[in-house]
Amino acid sequence: MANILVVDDEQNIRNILRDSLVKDNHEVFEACTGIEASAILNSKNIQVLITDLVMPDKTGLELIMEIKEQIPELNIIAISGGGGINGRFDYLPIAQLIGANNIIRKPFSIAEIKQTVANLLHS
Amino acid sequence: MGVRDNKLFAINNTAVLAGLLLFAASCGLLYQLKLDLNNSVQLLAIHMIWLLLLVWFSRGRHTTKQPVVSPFKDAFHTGLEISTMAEQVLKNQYGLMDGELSQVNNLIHDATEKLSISFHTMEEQSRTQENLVKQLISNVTQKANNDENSKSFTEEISGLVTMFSDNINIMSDGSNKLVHAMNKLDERIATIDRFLNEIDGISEQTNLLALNAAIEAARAGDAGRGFSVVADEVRSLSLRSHGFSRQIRDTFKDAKDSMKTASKIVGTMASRDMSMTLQSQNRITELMQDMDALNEEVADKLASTQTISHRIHTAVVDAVKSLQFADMSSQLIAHVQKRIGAIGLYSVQVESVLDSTVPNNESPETSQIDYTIYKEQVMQLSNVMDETVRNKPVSSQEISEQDVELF
Repeated sequence: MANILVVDDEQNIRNILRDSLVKDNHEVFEACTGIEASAILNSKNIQVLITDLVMPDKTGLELIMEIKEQIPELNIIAISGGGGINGRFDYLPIAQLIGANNIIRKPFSIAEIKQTVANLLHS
Repeated sequence: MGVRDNKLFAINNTAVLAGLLLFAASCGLLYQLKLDLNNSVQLLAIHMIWLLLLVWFSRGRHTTKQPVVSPFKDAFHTGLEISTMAEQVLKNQYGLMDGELSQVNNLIHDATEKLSISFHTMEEQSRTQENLVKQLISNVTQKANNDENSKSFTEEISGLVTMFSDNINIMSDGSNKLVHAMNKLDERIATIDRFLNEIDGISEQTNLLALNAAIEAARAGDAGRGFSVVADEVRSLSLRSHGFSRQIRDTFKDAKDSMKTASKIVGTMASRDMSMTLQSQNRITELMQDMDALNEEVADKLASTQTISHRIHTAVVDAVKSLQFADMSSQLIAHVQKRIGAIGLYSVQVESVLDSTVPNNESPETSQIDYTIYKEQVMQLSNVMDETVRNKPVSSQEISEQDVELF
């Protein structure tokens, strides 16, 4: 139904997301770094981006800022374990401010992911 | 600082020793020169020289000590302050590290516990589901195997229904034919009855004619004797005809009675067929009730299976959440490693600053050093370390329900 890009440096997380979204007949692409994700976004027609925020090299926040300039209509879901800066400034609300359509805190359930993707695609 | 102090102390001791040796040497020299030691002036001069030498050396010691004491004191105090600051910073970092490691420990503990519960639940529910399905299969199989004629349930139902249908058709067919035949017979009997009435009419008229003929013959006397005989015969024929008519009527009455009897028999047979039909119907009803009971049992077991499936699904959801602990833990551990690296670098840099606070005796600017710059350097190093480790990846303490924030 839709092309979805999943970005997370943890293989298990990518597996969980991929397996659950493929069952809903989506085509799922994977990237383990922000740089890899940028390359895929520039070469494929992606409708939904699901990205972790804490990653080596390019962080999820950097990726969101960069992609929002290039593809403003892209639907973005940010996921994170709830980390932040100095324990005060949470990454997730920051992601929301810079352009993420939805934010999900880890640990997430498969139902949450599916529902969020469905809502984004329908809207 | 300690090494330099010892050096200076050694130098000072050497100076005193040198002074004493000089005194001893001067005494020896005086002895050699055979000076009159009893001469009070000479004695006084010698003592004065000795005292002057000692004073000179002492002053020299003080003179060399005074430039050393001030920077050492400043250096010492600055070093102490820097050490205290560094200790405080390190304590803080160790506290944060301890907190983060506790967080990792809690995550792992919580996730392991939840994973264990999930897998146990899945195993238990799967077994229950397996047993339910086995019971179901067993009941259905047993039901099929218990039939008396070793026919399957559906075959028996099918046979009964077919037989029932055939019987109904035959009965219906036979009844129609019977009714048709009886109607025809009634018509015939009615016709024959009309014919018989005609015959009776003719017979009566013939009898009358015969009587009239007999009367005329009697009037005619002897001439009418022959006619009288004919008349008598005709009368006799008339009576016989009437008799036959009555017999025919009686015979037809019997035939009608027989038809009624036949009709009764057919009715009885129909009744018996109806009885068999009712029995078959009852048997079908019983079989249908058994089927209903079986269906109910199947529906019941399927509902239980659905409940179990839901429980298994919930257990799987919990397991999926718990498996994410590896990602969260590894991010936290990476952050702890980063913190350890920053602490190590900070320690080396602070040690370097402390080394540079120790004053150099040979340097003429030693007394003019402003030690506050070293403290500022150490504070700057603390800020750099805080900046390095300020981005914490995970805030969760356990694998628990998280709400989806939609907007």
